[in-house]
Amino acid sequence: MGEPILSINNLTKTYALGLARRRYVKALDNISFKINKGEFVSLVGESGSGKTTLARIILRLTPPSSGEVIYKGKNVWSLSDEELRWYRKEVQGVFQDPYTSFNPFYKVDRALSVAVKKFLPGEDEHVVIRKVLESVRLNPDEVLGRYPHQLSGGQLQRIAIARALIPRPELLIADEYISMVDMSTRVDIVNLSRDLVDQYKMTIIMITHEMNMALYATDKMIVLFKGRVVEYGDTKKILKDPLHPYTQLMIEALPRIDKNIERKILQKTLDAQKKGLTESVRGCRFAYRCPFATERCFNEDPVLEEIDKDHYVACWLHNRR
Amino acid sequence: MARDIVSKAQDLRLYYILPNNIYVKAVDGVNIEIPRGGFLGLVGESGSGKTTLAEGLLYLIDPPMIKIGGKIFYIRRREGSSTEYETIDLETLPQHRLDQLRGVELSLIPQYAMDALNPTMKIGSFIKDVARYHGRDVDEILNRALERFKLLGLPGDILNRYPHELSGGMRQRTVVGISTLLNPKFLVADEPVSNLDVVQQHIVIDFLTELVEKKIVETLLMVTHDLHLILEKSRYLLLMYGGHIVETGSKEEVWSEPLHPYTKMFLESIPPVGSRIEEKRIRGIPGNPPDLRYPPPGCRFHPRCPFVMDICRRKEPPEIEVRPGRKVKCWLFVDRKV
Repeated sequence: MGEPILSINNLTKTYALGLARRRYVKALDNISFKINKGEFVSLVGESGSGKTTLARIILRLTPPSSGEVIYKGKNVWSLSDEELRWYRKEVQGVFQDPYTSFNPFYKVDRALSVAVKKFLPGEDEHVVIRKVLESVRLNPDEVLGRYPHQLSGGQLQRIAIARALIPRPELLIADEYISMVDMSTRVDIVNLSRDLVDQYKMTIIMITHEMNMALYATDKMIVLFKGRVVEYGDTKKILKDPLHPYTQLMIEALPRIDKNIERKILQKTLDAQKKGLTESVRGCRFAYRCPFATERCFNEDPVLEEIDKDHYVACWLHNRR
Repeated sequence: MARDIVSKAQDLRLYYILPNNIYVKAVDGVNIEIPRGGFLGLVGESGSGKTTLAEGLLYLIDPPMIKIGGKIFYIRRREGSSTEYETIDLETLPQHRLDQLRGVELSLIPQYAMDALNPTMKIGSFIKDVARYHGRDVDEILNRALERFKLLGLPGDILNRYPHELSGGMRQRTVVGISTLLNPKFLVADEPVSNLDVVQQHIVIDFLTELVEKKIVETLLMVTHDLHLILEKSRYLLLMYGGHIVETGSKEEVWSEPLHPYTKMFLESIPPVGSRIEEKRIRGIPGNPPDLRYPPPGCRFHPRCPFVMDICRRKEPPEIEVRPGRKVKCWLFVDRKV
């Protein structure tokens, strides 16, 4: 595979809360992983897992407290002005709410033409825009000349992806980009992402709480829980054999038509939550919810370890050291 | 007959007026009978009119929403009788009777429930107000609240807290609890688990299911865009598209033999757990949902339907009752009862 396109090394982000009594919350707690070129990666986590903070740090919207983001060998948070212009072209973001991504007073054409003028000066705006819209499977005649409120969430999100593709980026960070799209068209956005990866060798990081879509389409999965990576690796391996009880919980919780599915971990978690036990202060953050937790889990932090080729887990159940 | 149905709408039309006198036809000629008892689902995507219909069934009609036509009935057991039922036309009820009915027999868990609490009141004070307004014993209701909050995984000191001291997920569960305090007979829950994490989703759905199973709530109508959420617990489904009810039936019937092309394609657009894109590519529904300001003529789904016929473009399809309780609004089923 060679050099990874993106390396996250020991990344931590601490937020201070409260004025009189200051408390510190670790949104990200010593996170590390690597992503190769041409991979479709899912970063799965629920609210409070730190997934959006991570996206913002990669996109240079929020500085980290410590640790590094290395893109093509360069530390993203210490780029020169010229390198920064290059980075802003190479790495693009698509965000959750397509209705706030566009200025409601302008036709959507403007967002696209601004991007062409900025990133591809001298190229024929008209041609670029039509081509890029076609690449996200929109009919340019149906969307051009329209205002955001005249388009559906799915159409707007495709235009947002099209806009992000104009600089011909290598890495696309998609933060919950399907959660506001209609259920019946979500899968098409995910299919489209898969095709962008397969056809143009793009690298896409899909940040989502939808385990189902992540399992369906991505090559690699990173599971975040309370600011930590609990499991990471080949999605097919995780689908076949999820190792961390939290990953198992997320898969177990997915709705099924057959009622008889046994939800052991979910049941334990529900019991814990009803007792008000949700988070461990020391050790594994998931210990209180975990049906397999031992004394050690409540006291010692588990370390992320490669259990099988391309399959890492941070759990004392699987740790061999 | 009446005992089998809890709520009924006849040719109901609920529109929104925009400032420039354009109408959004959110509910446009809906005829439904909501069966009495159990966990039911009203499923539709954004802009299908499901929230408008849900509010309409409780006669929560306030500008800019207006009723253009049709009737809304609530069918209840006659007081003092265990066998007789009365059908109430909610429109003819004076406001104070409607207010009495709501909360006591009818209740709504509103969409965006986490923002539904009064920020200046402690949760406990709010509950006391609810109890007093409906002439209930305050202590009894407070105790019941504590019990329910416990089932919802909320902390024991919640009555003394202000909404801003709670997380979004906690506020949402609080509103779910409060909406059920007077043991409503007919509870409409509008997206009660959106924005919750999977564990909290299961807590809320299990809680509501328990109330239904214990017959504390007789009929629960859960409104959702996420069919999967209610797949396990619901017994009956109503599917909505473009301001119309397009299909109704038991969950098993709808799941195993969807009739309307929309339902069929909707069910097929969600990857089954464990499926992989290389093995089988799941397809969404092509096209876009209708703009309810200018809905297409004929069937609202015809621009996206692979089985479209000439008549679909011209005339609104009738509702065909394939079996009792099993209806579909589609030209494909005219003169071709299955």
